[in-house]
Parts: sequence; C-alpha cells; structure tokens
Amino acid sequence: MGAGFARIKLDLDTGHRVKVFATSEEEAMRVYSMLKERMHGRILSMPVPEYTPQNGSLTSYTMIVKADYGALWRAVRDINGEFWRDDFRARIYSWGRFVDVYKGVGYPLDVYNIYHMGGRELYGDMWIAHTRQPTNSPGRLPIWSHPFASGEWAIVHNGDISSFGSNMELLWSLGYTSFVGTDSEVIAHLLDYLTSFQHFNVQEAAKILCNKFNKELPDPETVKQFYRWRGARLDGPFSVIAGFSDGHDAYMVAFADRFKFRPIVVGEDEDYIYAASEEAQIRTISQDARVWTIEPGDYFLASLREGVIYPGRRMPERFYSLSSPLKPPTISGECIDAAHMNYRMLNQAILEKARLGAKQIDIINVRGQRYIGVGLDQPLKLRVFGTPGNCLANLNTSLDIEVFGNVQDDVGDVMTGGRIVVHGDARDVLAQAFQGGAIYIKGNAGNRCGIQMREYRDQRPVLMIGGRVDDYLGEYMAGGVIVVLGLNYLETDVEVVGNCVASGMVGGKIYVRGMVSPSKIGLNPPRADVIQYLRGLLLEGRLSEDDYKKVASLKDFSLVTLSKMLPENVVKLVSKLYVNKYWKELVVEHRRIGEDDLALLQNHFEEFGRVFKLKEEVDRVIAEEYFTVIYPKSGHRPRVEEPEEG
Amino acid sequence: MSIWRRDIVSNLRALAGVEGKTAGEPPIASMGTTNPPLIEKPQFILDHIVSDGAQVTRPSIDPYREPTETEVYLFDGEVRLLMPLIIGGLCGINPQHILVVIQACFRMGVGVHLEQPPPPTLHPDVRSMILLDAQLSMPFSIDRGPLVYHVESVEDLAKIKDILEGIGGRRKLVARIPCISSQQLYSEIVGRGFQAVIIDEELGGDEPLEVALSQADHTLKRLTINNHPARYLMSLIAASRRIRSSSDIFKLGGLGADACVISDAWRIGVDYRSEMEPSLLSERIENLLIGMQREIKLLMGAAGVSSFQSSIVGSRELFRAIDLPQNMCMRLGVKPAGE
Amino acid sequence: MTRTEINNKSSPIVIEKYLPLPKKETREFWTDNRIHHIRHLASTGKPLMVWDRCKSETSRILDRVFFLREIEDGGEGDLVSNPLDVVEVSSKICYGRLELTYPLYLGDMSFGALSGIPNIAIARAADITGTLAGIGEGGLHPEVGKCKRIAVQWASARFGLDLDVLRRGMAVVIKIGQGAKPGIGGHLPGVKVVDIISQTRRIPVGVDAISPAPHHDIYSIEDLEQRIFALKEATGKPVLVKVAATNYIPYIASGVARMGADGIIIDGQGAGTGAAPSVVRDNIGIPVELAVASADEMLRREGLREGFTIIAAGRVSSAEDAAKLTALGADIASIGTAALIAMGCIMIHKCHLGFCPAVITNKIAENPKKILSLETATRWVVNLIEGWSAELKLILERLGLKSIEELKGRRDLLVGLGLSDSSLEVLGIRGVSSNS
Repeated sequence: MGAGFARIKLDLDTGHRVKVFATSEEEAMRVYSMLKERMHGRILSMPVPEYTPQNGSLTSYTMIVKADYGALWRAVRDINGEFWRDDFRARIYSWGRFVDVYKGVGYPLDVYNIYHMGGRELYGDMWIAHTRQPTNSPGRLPIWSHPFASGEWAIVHNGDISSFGSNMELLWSLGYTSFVGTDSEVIAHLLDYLTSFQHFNVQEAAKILCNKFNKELPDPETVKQFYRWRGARLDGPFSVIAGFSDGHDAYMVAFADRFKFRPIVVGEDEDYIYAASEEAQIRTISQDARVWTIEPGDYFLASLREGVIYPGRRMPERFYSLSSPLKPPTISGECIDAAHMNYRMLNQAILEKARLGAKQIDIINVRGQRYIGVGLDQPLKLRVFGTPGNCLANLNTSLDIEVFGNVQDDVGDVMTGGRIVVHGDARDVLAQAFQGGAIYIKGNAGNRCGIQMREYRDQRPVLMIGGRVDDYLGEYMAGGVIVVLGLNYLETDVEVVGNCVASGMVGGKIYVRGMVSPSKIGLNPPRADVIQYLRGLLLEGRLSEDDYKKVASLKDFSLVTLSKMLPENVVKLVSKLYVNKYWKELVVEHRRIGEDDLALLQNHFEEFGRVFKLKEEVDRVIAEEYFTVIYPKSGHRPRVEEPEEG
Repeated sequence: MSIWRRDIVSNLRALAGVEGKTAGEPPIASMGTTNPPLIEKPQFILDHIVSDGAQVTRPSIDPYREPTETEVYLFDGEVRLLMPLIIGGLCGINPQHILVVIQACFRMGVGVHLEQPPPPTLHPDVRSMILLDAQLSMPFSIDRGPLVYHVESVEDLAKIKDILEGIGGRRKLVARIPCISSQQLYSEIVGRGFQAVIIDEELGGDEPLEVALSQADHTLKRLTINNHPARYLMSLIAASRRIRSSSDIFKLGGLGADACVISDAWRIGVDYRSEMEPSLLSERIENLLIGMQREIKLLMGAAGVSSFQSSIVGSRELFRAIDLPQNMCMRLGVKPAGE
Repeated sequence: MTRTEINNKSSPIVIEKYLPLPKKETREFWTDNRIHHIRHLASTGKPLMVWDRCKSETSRILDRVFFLREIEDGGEGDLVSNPLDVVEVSSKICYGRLELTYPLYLGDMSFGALSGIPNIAIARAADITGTLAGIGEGGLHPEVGKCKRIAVQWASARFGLDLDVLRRGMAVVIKIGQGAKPGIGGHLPGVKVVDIISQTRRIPVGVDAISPAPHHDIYSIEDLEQRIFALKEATGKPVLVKVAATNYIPYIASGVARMGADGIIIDGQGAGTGAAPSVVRDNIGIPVELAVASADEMLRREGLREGFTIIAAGRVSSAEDAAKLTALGADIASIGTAALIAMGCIMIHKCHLGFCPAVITNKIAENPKKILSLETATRWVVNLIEGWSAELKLILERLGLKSIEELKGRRDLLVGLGLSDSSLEVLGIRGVSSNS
C-alpha cells in the first residue's frame, strides 16, 4: 500500500527543492556532496529530514538548490543512476521549484501523519492525492508511491500502460538512466521532457501522451509530430491527473486513454476545480459541483488564472442534474443514514429492515458505498440520496432503486429483474449483461453502455437514457432494447452517441435520437485504408475516375454507403476490408418512431416521462424527431461456422 | 528439418485461401500448442520468444470489434503502410506477375522491395511505396520512390558519397546492410542522410537477424540527428527469407523492426507458380495480407495494445524469452519468462 | 422414413471403450506413452510407475526438472511398497475453507467446449473423490448442478448466471484468462446455440454467444477487488481467480492475493482449449512451472503466501508433474487434458470442428448418434484421480515425506538438467549438467 500528496504553489519558489529518500543520514549526505560537486556549490541548504528517521525504512530529506534546470536534471539523473546500482539506498524523487511531494508507505492518513501535515501550514494552489495497490511493482518502499514528480510536474496515474516498454525505450534514448520501475513514473518524465526540453506547451504535451487514434489526427503535420514522438504516446488503460507550474500559472491536466478503460471525472464549483477517479470523492468536498467525464482519448485542462481551458470533451457537456442531494426534503417511513457505514453495514441494515417487513427504505448520506443492493433478492423499493459507489444493483432480481443524483461505474451488471431509476448521469459500463427489468437514466451515460445486454424467453431488458453516451454503445449486444434520447442536445446537430455503436451486436435493438454517422456504427476500417484500396483500383483502371472522386469527396461513409455508389464488382472487392467471419450485417434505419416501436416501448416512454417529469419532452420527441434504429439483419449469419470457445 | 514446418505452411495457405474455406481468417486450432521451443525443436531465437497476454490490470482489446492500428509510417512519417509488411523476393518472377504483386500490395497499403526497376508506366504514387535497389543510372531520373543502397562497410559508403550528394534529398535513401553490429557504420549511415535501414539476413553477417536488429535499434537510439534520437526519425526494416509468419513479424517488431520484408513466406503461402492466373495470384496475395494483418491484430489485442508502431516496435518489455541463456537475453534486451 | 429420420429414431451408440491411438505426424506433448499411462490409471485406479518415465520424450522445462531422489534412485522406484495409508495427500485450500481428499482440481471445461456427458462425469467424479471441479463458462448444466463439489465460474459473458446459480457451488471462480489463449475471448456461433445450450446460458436459441476478451468491469486491480467482494457479498463463498501465465504473473498473483481472493489458478502455456486462433495459442504466455515458481516467490516475499492457494494448470500430465509443481510452490494441481484423455481423448486437435471421434467435444445435438457412457466416463475419471494419487503417495514416500503439505515449496529437492541459467534462476533450483 502506498499513498502520497503533491502541492503546486506559485509562490513556493526559493530554489529547486530537491527531495530524496535515503536509508540513513549518511546516504543523504552522500547525495548532498554529489549534488554539491555537480552544481558547483550552488546548493543552499544541507539535507533536512522531513520526519523522524525510522530504522530500516527510507526517510525523506530536503535540500534547496539554485541552478539552471538542464544542469540540475543531469545531476539528478547521474545521482539516481549511481544509487540505482546501489539498490535504492537513496533516490531523488522530486526537484521542482513549485512542486512539493509528500509520499510514503501506508494509507493516506498514515502518510499525512508521518509528515505531520496537519501541524504545518501547508497551503497550495493545487493539491493532488493518491493511494494505490501496487500492480506491476512491489510496494515496500515509498519510492514506488504516487505522486511521481519530474521537474515542475507531479502526476498520479491509475492504470497499467501497455506502451510502457516503448516509453522506456524513448526515455533511455533521451538520456534517462534509472527508473524505479513503474509505468506511472515514465508519464512524469515524458511530460517534463516534452515541456522543459522540447518546449511543447502543456496542451501539446498532453495531446501526444493521451494519444488519439491516428485517424482522428487533423493534418499531416500532426501525424508527423506524433510519429516522431511515438515513444511518448501512451497505450493501454490509464487515467492521469497531473499538476504543473511555470511560475506564472498553475495547471491541472487530466487525461484518459482512447478506450477510456479507467474512470475519470472532473468538476467545477464556485471556488474550485476538481478531477478524480470517482465522483464520490469530489462530493466529499463539494455537494454542488458540476461533475462530468472526459471523452475517451481526450484531456482536460484548467489553470489557476484561466479556469477551465479545455473541458475534456469536444462538445461541452449539458446537464440535467447539477447536484446530488444527500437527503429528501422530508423523510417519511423507513430510513437508513449511511453517513458512517461501509457497504457491508449498509447492506446488512437494508436486509434487516426488509426482514422486518419494510417495503420502502430511504438511504441518505450515501458517499461512494459500493454494491448497494447486491445479494438482496426480495421485492423492495430503495430511494438513494447522495452518490452511490460502483456496482450498484449488480445481480439485481427484484429491487426497485431510485437514485437522486449521479451513479458511478458498473450499475446493473447481470441484472435479471427489478428497476433502476437515476435522476442524474451514469458512468461507464452501465447495464453490462443486463437481462431483465428496466434501467432509466435521466442524464448522460459513459462508455460501453448496455454491453452484452441480452434477452431470454419472456425477459427483455430495456435501457433508456435521457442524455448522450460515449463509445461502444451496445457492444456485443444480444438482446433487449436501448434508447438514447439525447434530450439535452435537442435543437443541436450534436450526435448523441460516440464511436463503435453496436460493434459486435448480434441481437436486440438500439434507438438513437437523431443522425449517427455511418462510420460510427460497428467497427469500420480507417477511411484512409478504404481510399487507398479504391485508389489502387482506379490506377489499375478497374474503377472510374468519377466513382473514385465521389467516394473520395465523402468525409464519412460505410459499406452501405459504398454499396449504393459503386459498381457491384467493386463493392465485392472493397467489402474485404469491412467483412470478417464475425461480421454481422446491421440494419440501420433513419425514421420516426412507429406503431411497432411503440408496442415495444410505449410503457417505458410513459414511465420515463413520469418519473423524470419529462413527459412533454418525451412525447414531442416520439412524435416529431427522427431516430437512427439499429438491429442485426435477421437471417444473416456471420461466416463463422465453428465454435471458438472453451 | 526444414524451417517450413507443415503447420507453418498450412497456416499461411489457409490465410491465402489455398487451403480451407476461410481465406483471410486466422486459422483456429484446439488443445494445447505443440510450438517450439518446448515441444517442436526451436530453430531460431524467435522460437524462444513469446508475447504478453493482457489481463487484470491491462484489458485486452478485441480487434474484431474495437480499433487496433497496424499501420506504420516509414521515412519520417511520409509513407504510410497499412501493416508492418513489405513484399520482397520478386527476383525471378515474370514481369506480369510482378505487376500484379505490386498492384495488390498498393491496394493493401503494403510496401514492395524490388531489385529491378518496375515498368516505367507505373503511377508515381505506386512507385512511392516501392523500395528499389539502386543502380548507377537511376538516381538522376525523375522518379521519387525510395532508393536502396547495398552497404556493408564505411568504405562502401565512401564510394557512393558523390552519388548520394547528387541526389541531395530528392529521393528517400535506404541502406541495406548485412547482420552486423557496427557502431561506426550506423553513425555514417545517419550522417549521410539515410532515412531507413534494411537489415537483410540474406546478405550474411556475423549475427543472427534478431540480435543484429535489436542492436541496430539501440544503436540508432543512441545516435542523434539535430539532438533528436536518430531512431525516431528513421525507419528500421528486417529482411530474411526465413521470416515465416505474422508472429515472426510481430516479434521482430518487438525487437525494433518497423516493418519486415518477407519473401519465401508469401510465395509458399499463395502457392506461387509461374503459370498461375494473375487474378488468382492477386486474390491470394490480398487474402494473405488481410489474414496476416488480422493475426497481428489478434496478437496486439491480446497484449492490450492498440497501436503497432508506437507500442510494439522496440517494446521489448512486452516480450519474454523462454529458456534462452541470460547473456542472449541481455543482448536482445528481452527478459527471461517468469522474471 | 428417410435415412436421417431412421437414424434420429434409433438410440445412440454408447461409447465405453478407448479408441486406438492414431499415428502422430508432428511432435506432441501428449505422447502415446503419456496417454497409455493415463489410460492405465483410468482403467485400473492403480499406480503404474513411481517416477514419470514419459518426461524423457519431450523437452518442456518441467521435463528437465528432476527430484534429486530420482537421480539417486537411478530412475527406478519401488512400486511394491505400500505407503498408501501412511502418506497424507488431503489438502486444505482457500485459507482452510475447503478440504480436498486428493490435491486435484478438475479444470474449468465448459458445457459447450465439452458435450455434456463429460461435464457431468467430471463433476460426479469430483463428488465421489472429494476433489473440486470447475464448471467453466457455459452456465450450469442441470445434471452438473446436482453435484456439490463444483466451482461456479464468473467469466466475462456471465452466461447463465444469477444469484441462485452462483450460490450452488463450493466456490466461485472469476475467470480472467486462459493459458491456451491469453487475452482472447470466445465465440459460439448462433447455429450451435441449441435448446439445451440456450437454457444453460440463458440466451435465445440461435443467437451467437460471445465472450468478450476482458471483463469490462475489471480494468484494474481495484476493479478486481470490487468484483471479488461483490461476489463474496452475494454468495459468501471462497473466490478463486483464474489467470493465464503471462509476463507479469508474479505481480498479478500478489495483486490477486492482496485483493482478497482465496486463491489463484495459474494456467500455463500449452494448456488445452476447445478452440483458439493458432497464432495466439502458439505465441502468447509462459510455461506454468516458471509462472508458479515466480508467483510463489513473490507472494512469500510480500508476506501473502500463508493460507492463499495456488493452483497450477497447463500440461499437468502425471503425479510427478504435480509433485514438482508443488515443490516449486503450488498447493494443488489442476488437470484438464489428462481428464479428457482418461475419458478417451486421442489428441487429434480437432475439438473446434465438432466431430470428436471420442464424443467428448462433439457438437451438441438433440439426437446424437453416438454418446459417451456416463457411467464409464465417471469411473475413468474417478480411477484416474485415485491411481494418480497413489503414484503421488509413492513419490512422497521416496522423498521421505509424510504428507503433500511437507512438499510445498521444497525447491531444494529439485535439480534442473540442461536448463538455461535464466530458467534455473526463475525456478530457484540448482542446475546440473546433463551428462552427470
């Protein structure tokens, strides 16, 4: 277990604060003399222990140096390299002018106590905190704890980047010679290198690291820049929160990977800007903050002087619910105050009340408790106030749960019955393997909503979302119905779904209000690949110049589009790029809601309008708006003939 | 024992559509593997190397439903290949077939390595994806495709100094070298403005391809061009007749190759015959390339990687060596399995 | 009546005998001698040998690891001695919450990968012998559901799962990965989703059954913890996590232990599968012997080993394999392929084609023409477990040990012959040159 804090403060500067973990005062003095020698004496203070040294463990020492950054960077590299060979008897872990790191082994409170943080007046323009379970490094020493600092950067990271080897290779080639060995550390080094030595601004550096797909890069210059800095691009799961200061302003950067594998939320209220991996953490400080998520593969940027500079989404978020009330206006009937309960106590309390015959229970002051409702299989109505934690109503069979705020990740996993009503937003992996009952979300939802939803016999799950969603809506969907109404984006031309809608869909139906670009449905080859192929045919004289130009002028197309524009033999050829043995043809209709749809959904539309008091909006959308309706073509089977499992 | 084990050949032929009914699809197998080094006898260092499977902290990616980028850029980002593959070994194939191969490769965004000039009528866009062995008369033509110079030593470079200066940046320059690890040679290659290096095992040398490649990758990372590590401005390509499969390409990628030149593999895969119908040849090459791309995507996805060039190339951390001596692991930069 | 109709009406042929072994055209781990050994155990329930003679035929790393005792014995062991009652092989796992009469886990083969009867036979054999059978991902076959000693699997697709099914077994297995295809999911095409499959998986007949490669609720070690505790909250049962042996296995094992799981099943390269893309099966993952050794080492170093269970899976072919894996740090061994061989598998690598000659992995049909005898198959597996355990006891006796417990982590009893320095280091054993 490790934990730590970093503060960024504009007027902290009294020189570079070189902080070192050392096994003894002797080792700290060794670092001091090595630093002194390399800095030609421009070292202002002897190493001061930050807390009482404990036997056998590393103690943190601080010393102040005034120096040119390049020279200091080289000195830190050399000294760390020296001690790296010497089994980490000492390690410099922070050397910025505006950054201060406090980290150690233990829980956050342990670290807070070790450094006597309560007794010192530690003010900052920005604070970062982190606690971790070690994943790909041991956790015995504080050098492996977050935040990781490099120059004026301090970062915390949640994830396990698969480009780690590649990123290390780049750092080696840039002259970095020693590492504590975690993937998180390289992120700090990369950001520092790009901004300090390559003079990228914070925004440019963040863009390279968060690594959008090539097809989304705007121009050949960016392609070239990303190509040259390919060793700095991150892959695999990550969400990162970073702080940086140039002495003039303090910046908060947060970014998420292109698949949005790790959670990240950002928020803003009158006084502060927040970024966290769970909304419940933000709610601990601010009940009124507006909280939203970063788009897959995007970054969020804010600064002390400018506020939110880039919100982390191409389209600014529109909200329904701005806060999560901790209590109902009046409490009547059964009530559980979750304020000081962990999830087990809470579920136990619910179970006890249910045993005594309660039919409806209000749960108030909920702050991030996970698994609410898991393991309870009697009919019961729960009203939840506050922010419930992940895994709400997993394996739900019978509960009717109403949440008066936002919910977090993995709500309704393997739900086979009952109902969930959320008067706010939902995050990622909502309704995974959802098999029966109804889930209504008033606001927006995240990535992979309705993944592998399915139906069986008379059970047909319905997921209805009032706002917009991110990528992979209905991935592997095998049954049931998903409706995305996008009520908060009416009168705009914003598409209310992200990429790869219905990818791998084999059953069920998806309704999305408004247009969905053809290439967003399913998984399509990059446009450049298709154009390349057609250009080949053109140059061989197998495709006419006119036909080629028609396609090349389109920004967005799918195989269906091509089938309508190109001769049959060409379509047959180019379809090789689209069709594989798992490929299932999807029917995509752009139309109004009809009788058949209403037969399926009328009750749900009415209920949705009623519980959220959105009857008028819903009725109007049903009557007037066009929907994109997606479902697998019946009778069409993928080419796969043999089972591929087990 | 032939390097073309039966299972390797039938795998390639299934991809190309010569065998079986699922052309272009990675073949399926059941029960435990019999692959080297533990069951079949290992023949090359590659046989000892395995790739990572992502799990728990690193989700794998499903390449059939989620995007995975196999594209690689060569020549400082100016040439885009759809997959890390270049077709070579076209010597001795009739001109009509050569044209068919070039066209199929262009459609699929795959490079071609030619020893003799292609037909003059070829469109410049197509030429830009052909790596052509240099001959004395050519550099001053209007052509703009990459030129490949066979270089074995610093002296070889000195001999063509004037020619290189005459080209003066008008064409992309490629040095094709044997499997040697000469710091000085690389330094000269970088200094002379080459934008790519092909390490070709057919030219001999004193190291196995795997070692020469890995060392070249690291050497180029230590050399610089305008303070930038040279490797990131240059392309590194591995060539050998014994590159057998997409998994070989994938592992060579891990050791530093942006792309691989395959020769015997494609000829065996499409069951090449001098009298075969051009349309059949064309179709089989397409199938083989699509199939190999899908296999590469499966390996990437399984490792939790979505970009070949930025996350696989030179990313030794994703690979492990099974039962290779420690000093060999060190030279490759690959850790032993289990460590 | 047409011929098909006649065939459909007639009762199926019941298979009760082993098929002759086909001539092998390529090198194979499961050599004829290994198969004959397993068949002997399965037919008689009695030991055939003390030291595994088959290992000389293949060059797996574990095949080049020996008990020093065997070298001293000159490869021969005493079959006559009868240590059976003195040596204890029962094993407590999962922090003592489960007790196995024999230290074997019957590994996670799903209904779908196997055709039904073999699934039932394995589950019944586990009940009879007091071992534990993992049911795999295909949901709970109604007959398997009647058995007690089963571990219900929570996999990425959650087929056929609900509270009731989860609570049926003695343990829950979260399947993260599989040795034969790390990082790859599964796909059962709609045409194969017949009525019985539809029932166990709770999906409509004819709809493709896809298992995503990762769990989309588990992207981090904290997510895994969340799932472990959600399942504990729902069932109150021990939770095991099954992973493939991959690069970071020691870290994964310590993460799994730290996150509150009761044990880990490490499935090595070369393990069986009903179907996998060749390119993945052949090039991803590491051998279980290396993985177990390094996982055990890391868990000890981090103080997480006590009470936590390591189950070693993948090419476990004999009691000696199991014993060596135990000495390298496993608690119990998992057998999958060996159990299939006991039920008549002749290793032709054609499971994915649906016409298994031994009717173990054949296509699931309403009116099959041939079926495996449930009674015989059950007996075969029970005998295998008993014969295997008898051989294990003989090995323990030769090692001078009183129980399997005493063998755990005893790397000092092992030596490596002709292994690279890197393998020896990971295994944590001494090497001797192969000519000594």
